[in-house]
Amino acid sequence: MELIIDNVSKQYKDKMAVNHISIKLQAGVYGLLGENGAGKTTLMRMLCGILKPSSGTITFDGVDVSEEEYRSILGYLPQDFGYYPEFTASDFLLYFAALKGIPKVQAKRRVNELLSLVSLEDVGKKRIKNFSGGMKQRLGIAQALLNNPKLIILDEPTAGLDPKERVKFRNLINKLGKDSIVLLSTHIVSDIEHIANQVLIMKEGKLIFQGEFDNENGNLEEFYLTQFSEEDNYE
Amino acid sequence: MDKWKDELKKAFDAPNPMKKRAFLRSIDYPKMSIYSFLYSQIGYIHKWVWGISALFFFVSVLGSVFVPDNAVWLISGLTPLLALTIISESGRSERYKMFELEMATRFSLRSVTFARLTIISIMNYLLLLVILLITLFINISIPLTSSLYIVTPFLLSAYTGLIIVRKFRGQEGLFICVGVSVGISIFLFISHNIIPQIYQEQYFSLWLIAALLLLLGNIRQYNAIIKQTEELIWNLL
Amino acid sequence: MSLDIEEQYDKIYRYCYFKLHNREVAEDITQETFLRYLKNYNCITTASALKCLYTIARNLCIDEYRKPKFETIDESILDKASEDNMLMNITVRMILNKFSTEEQELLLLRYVNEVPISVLAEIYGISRFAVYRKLTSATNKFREELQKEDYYG
Repeated sequence: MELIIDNVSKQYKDKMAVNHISIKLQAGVYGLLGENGAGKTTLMRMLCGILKPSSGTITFDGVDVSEEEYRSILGYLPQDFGYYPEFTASDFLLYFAALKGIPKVQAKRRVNELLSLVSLEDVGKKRIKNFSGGMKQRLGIAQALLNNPKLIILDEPTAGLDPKERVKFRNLINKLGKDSIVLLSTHIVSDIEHIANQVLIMKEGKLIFQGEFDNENGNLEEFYLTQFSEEDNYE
Repeated sequence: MDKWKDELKKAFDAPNPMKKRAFLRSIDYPKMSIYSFLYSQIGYIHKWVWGISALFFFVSVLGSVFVPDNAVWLISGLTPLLALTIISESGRSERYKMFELEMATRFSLRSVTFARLTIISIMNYLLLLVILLITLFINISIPLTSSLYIVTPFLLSAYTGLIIVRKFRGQEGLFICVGVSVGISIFLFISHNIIPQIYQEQYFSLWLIAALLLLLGNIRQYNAIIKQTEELIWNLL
Repeated sequence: MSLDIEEQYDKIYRYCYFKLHNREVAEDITQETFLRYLKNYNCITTASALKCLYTIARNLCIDEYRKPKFETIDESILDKASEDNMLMNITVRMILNKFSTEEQELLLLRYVNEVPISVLAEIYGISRFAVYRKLTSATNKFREELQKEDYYG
C-alpha cells in the first residue's frame, strides 16, 4: 500500500498554492501541520481528485488519482461540508453509500455500524440541522469511512470536537492507521502529537519537514514553532 | 426467541475466524451497477420537482378539457415552470455545500449530476409528449404544428435557465432563474393576444429552426454543466 | 447483488467449521467460497445468491473431506477460550450427537444461519414440504431431548 505524490504543484495565476511536493506514504497516520493558507487544503483536495494538479502526478498503488478505482478506496472529510436540509444522519450516510457504489443491503448494515462507531446511533433518525458542531463533524468522519477506505484524508477533523470526543477520535485514528494510510491536517500541534507516526510540515506551499517525531527530540510544538521562526529569519 | 434456538446456536458456535477483516478488505466487492446507481438517484431528486411536474400535468390536462381553444397558450405558458425543475436540480449540490464530498466518491459529482439531469430531462420530455398527445387527441381542430408553440418555449426556458445557473452560482442563480421563467411565462400567456403575428403559419419554419437550435443549445449546456463538476473551480481557498 | 458478504462470512464459516471441525481449513474454505462466488456472475446477479453460496461451500467441504491427509482433530478446540464454551454447551452437543449429520446440518442452516426454507429446498434439491417435514421432526426431537435433560430447569 503506497501513495506516491510526485512533484505535485498547484498554481493559481501567479500564486503557487502547492509548490513541487514529493512524498511517499505507506500505511500509518500522518499529521499535516501548517498555518492557515500554507496549502494544506489545496494539497488534500488534489489528493482527493477534486482539484487537478498544475503539474506532477498522484498515484495509489499505481492507480492515478483521476480514476474511479482511486476514488473507490478513498475516504475524505473536507474542512467544511453541508447537507440537504431534509436529511437525517442515516439518510446522509445512505446517500453517500450510494455515491460510493455500496449495494443497498450492505449499506444499511454499514450505516448502522458507523453510527454506533461515532456514537450517533440514538440520533440516526434525527435531522442533521438539529446537530451540534461536534455531532456533525462525527457524522462527517463516519461518512469518510463508509467504503472501508485504504486512503483516508481528513481536513481539520478535530474541529468542533470536545475533549472527550477528541480522545475517542484519537483511538479510532490509531486503529485505522494500522491498515490504511491516514493523512490528517490541523493547525493545532497537540492534536497530532499523540496520534501521528509521521509529521509533515507545510509552509507557503512547500513541504519543509517530513519525518518521524518522537518526544526524545523535544516538544513537537516547540519544534514546529522553531521551524517557522527560522524560516522567517531568512526572509 | 425460543430458548431451544438459543441453545442450538451456542452448540454450533465456532471459534472466531482469524483472517476475516484482512480478507474482506482484499476482495473486490461486487459494486453497484450504473443502472442501480441511476435508480438510487431517483429517490434523491427533490420532492419539489415531482410536485411541479404533477402540477404541470394536471393543469395542462384540465386546460385541454375545459378551455380547448386556449389550451395551447395555457400549456405553452406553463412550460417555463416545468423547465425550472431541471434548473433547480442542477445547482442543488452546490447550494447545499455537498459538492466537495460528492466529488470524492466513486460515482463522483459528475455522475450524480448526469444521473439526475438525465432522469429529470427524460421525465420532462415524456411529460411534454403525453400532454401533446392528450391535447391534440382531445382537440382534433388544433393543427399539429401547434406542438412547436409548446416545445420551443420549453427549450428556451431550459436553455436560458441552464446558462444562468452556470454563471450565477448558489441561491442567487436560482432566484434569477425563477424570475426569468416567470417573465417568459407571462410573455407567452399574453403574446398570442398582443403579437399574434408570430404564430402565423408562414413563420412555422422559423419556429422549427429555433426549436432545433435551442435543442442543440440545451445539449451544450448539459455538457458544460457536467464538465463544470470535474474540478472545484468555485469557492477557491 | 443481494447479499451482504460481511454478514454471510460468519455464517459460511460456521457452516464450514461444522463440516470440517478445523478452524484454519474452515476459514480457508470460507474464503475460497466467496472468491468463487464473486467470480460467478450468475450467482451475484440472480435472486438465488444464497443458494449459490451454500452450494459452493458444500462442494468445497466435500472435496476437502475427501483429501487423504484430512484430519478432523482441531487443536484449537482445546484452546482455553473455547474450552469454557465447550463445557457450557456440552449437554446440547451431546444431544446433537444423537442426530444424523444431515439433521444437524439442517438445524444449523435453518435456525442458526437463518437460511429460508425455500433456499434450503433449492440447496438440497427437494421440495419445500420435504424440508419442512424434516425440520419439524428434527426440531421436535431436539426439544424432547432437551426436556429429558431437564434443560428448562
